[in-house]
Amino acid sequence: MSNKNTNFSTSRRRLLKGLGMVGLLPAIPTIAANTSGHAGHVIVVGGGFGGATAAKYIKRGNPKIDVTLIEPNSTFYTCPFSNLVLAGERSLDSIGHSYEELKSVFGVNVIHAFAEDIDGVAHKVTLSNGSVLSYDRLLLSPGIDMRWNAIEGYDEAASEKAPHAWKAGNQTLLLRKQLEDMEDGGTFVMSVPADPFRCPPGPYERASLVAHYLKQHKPRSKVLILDSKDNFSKQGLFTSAWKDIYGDMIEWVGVSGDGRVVRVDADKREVETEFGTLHSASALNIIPPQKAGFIADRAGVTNESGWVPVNPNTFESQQVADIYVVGDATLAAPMPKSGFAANTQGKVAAAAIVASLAGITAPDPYWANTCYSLVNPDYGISVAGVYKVEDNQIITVPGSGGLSAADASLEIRQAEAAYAVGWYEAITQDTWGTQY
Amino acid sequence: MSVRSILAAFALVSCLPAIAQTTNDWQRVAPLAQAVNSEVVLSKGIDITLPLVAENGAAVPLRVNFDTSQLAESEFIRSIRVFSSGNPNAEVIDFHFEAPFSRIELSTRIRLSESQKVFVLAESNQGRQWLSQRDVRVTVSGCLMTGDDSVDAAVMSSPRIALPRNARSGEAAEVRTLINHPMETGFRETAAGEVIPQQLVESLTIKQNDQPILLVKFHTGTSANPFVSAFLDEVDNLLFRWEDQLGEHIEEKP
Repeated sequence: MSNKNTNFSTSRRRLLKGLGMVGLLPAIPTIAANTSGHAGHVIVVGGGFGGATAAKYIKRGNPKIDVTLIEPNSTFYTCPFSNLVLAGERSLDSIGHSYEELKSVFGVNVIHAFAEDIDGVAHKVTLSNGSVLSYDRLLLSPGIDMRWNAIEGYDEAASEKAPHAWKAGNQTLLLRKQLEDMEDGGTFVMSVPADPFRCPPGPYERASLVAHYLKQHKPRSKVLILDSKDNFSKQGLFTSAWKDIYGDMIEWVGVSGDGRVVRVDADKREVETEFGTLHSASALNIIPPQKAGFIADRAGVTNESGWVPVNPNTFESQQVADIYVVGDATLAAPMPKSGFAANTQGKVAAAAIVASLAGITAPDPYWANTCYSLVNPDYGISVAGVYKVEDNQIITVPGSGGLSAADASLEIRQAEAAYAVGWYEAITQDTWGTQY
Repeated sequence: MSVRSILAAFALVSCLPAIAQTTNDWQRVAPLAQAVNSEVVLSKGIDITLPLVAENGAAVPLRVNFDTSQLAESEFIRSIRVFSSGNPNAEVIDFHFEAPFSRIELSTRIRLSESQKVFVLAESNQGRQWLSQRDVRVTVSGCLMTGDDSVDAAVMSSPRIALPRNARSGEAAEVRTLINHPMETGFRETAAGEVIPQQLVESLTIKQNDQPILLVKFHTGTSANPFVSAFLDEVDNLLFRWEDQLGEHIEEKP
């Protein structure tokens, strides 16, 4: 299976990706020796792709700025590649990242606590350990929260029995357990929300890798995707690959085929759709509708959509001054809610914060994103885009990016699977590490 | 809380110019300008729910609530019509009420070809009209490229009806319905550059005890697989009838 000796050198690609990432950095102004001594205090809330990247790149832009990162967990588990953990192809440890290098190499002060409240006027953050910190600039990378009870019967307690696994870690292991306990001939049922949600191609990669596991271990089983929309990311590529690799194992039902789940019975592992169809599951994965993480609400930066509107040039909140917000919590379409997007947004916000504290204008931003998906561990597909600001809105640079070709050879699919691994290693190093 | 109240004040200020512009925008949409009668158009009382940013313009969820408490005695809503400022054809969907409905709360899925304004025009049996509008930004999210441009057969199939599970007599309850059909607009081309001819489901009639109570007219601005939900005062003895442009029809009972 592991036929990865293609004509493409993974390590060279990896290096290029790493360089590419640095090249994408929109020229953070490097501030020369600051004679005044105090260059400002920035608090970063959330140590995922957006927050950890921002903390690191603020220190790189001006080491004299004090940066405090607030993150409850000492290890961050990435959603990218968590579908491989679910399928038993990787350990949870292999997608865990610590904050040691941010502390020891870049001098970021890391506090493991929850941020519980924010006062945007007084510039203060209250932590779960009781302390209250003052900031000059605040950067939130709060990720997502689930909209509990948006689907009848699906609340936080139900998610222990029908995991969402849309935040990696314990939820991933819960769903993995259900998959392992499933009998041959059972059905893995997944409910997918309408746009926007974290990682648009993620559910379909998950369905693929679950099928990859089932094909080897429980070949009479099925994967049923109940979707709240009629079109999905890389649909043509996924559906043709599913047919080639998994035959009839994966069934997708769109909203017009009665795919929208409106009620969940987590105890019975049963769901009901919009037009009254009942589906029983051996393993049940409910990916519910989502909104910006809780602390964004506390900071007053969300609007009625539940997400955060930002100034596209800087990713500063449109609603509260001196608060910057990056990642899945923001309204940044056409940029997707992805780890890669959060990483590049973190760099743009870092540059804007460094410039703002130095009293100079932020550089013009641009962003890139690539979403790799694995249909199996040796079959990769991707979609890429480059973004810029025009008329005060983020737009896709015309002619940039694109989808993997529909008629690509198996060698290309294998190469893209290898690039996906290279991408993962490069971006996690760029976010939490020191390599590249 | 102080931050919020300051923000709320700002929001209020920034809303004012939008209201002032309302009278101009609708006049530029020809079918809407024609539909507006000489009576005073009221701008309050219609609540439009649409996403601020739609990541897929092919099926944008739309919900319309009309506050019936502002109606006079023996006045009821005759029609709710939806128009768009930027689609090739401004007409989106029309609801004609053949009987008084106590609760006007409709939902559907619409097509928006670009960022634009959506207008909702309500008219009562006494000729009073209400007009409201919303801006929607349409942007295809970077990861939503599907790579799938298939052409489906333009025939109606799989009509579906969902009645409320616990409807109580004397209380309006939501009925949902959907039929599968690609709703070809006539604006689309095949990969070879040939125009795919227009093929639409033209209408849905909901009858109760053999009497029509709601007539829904679909246009090119209605999404594929037209979906409609409405609150009905009674949900017994219903019949749903769809008709397409070819003259075919399908009837279905819940």
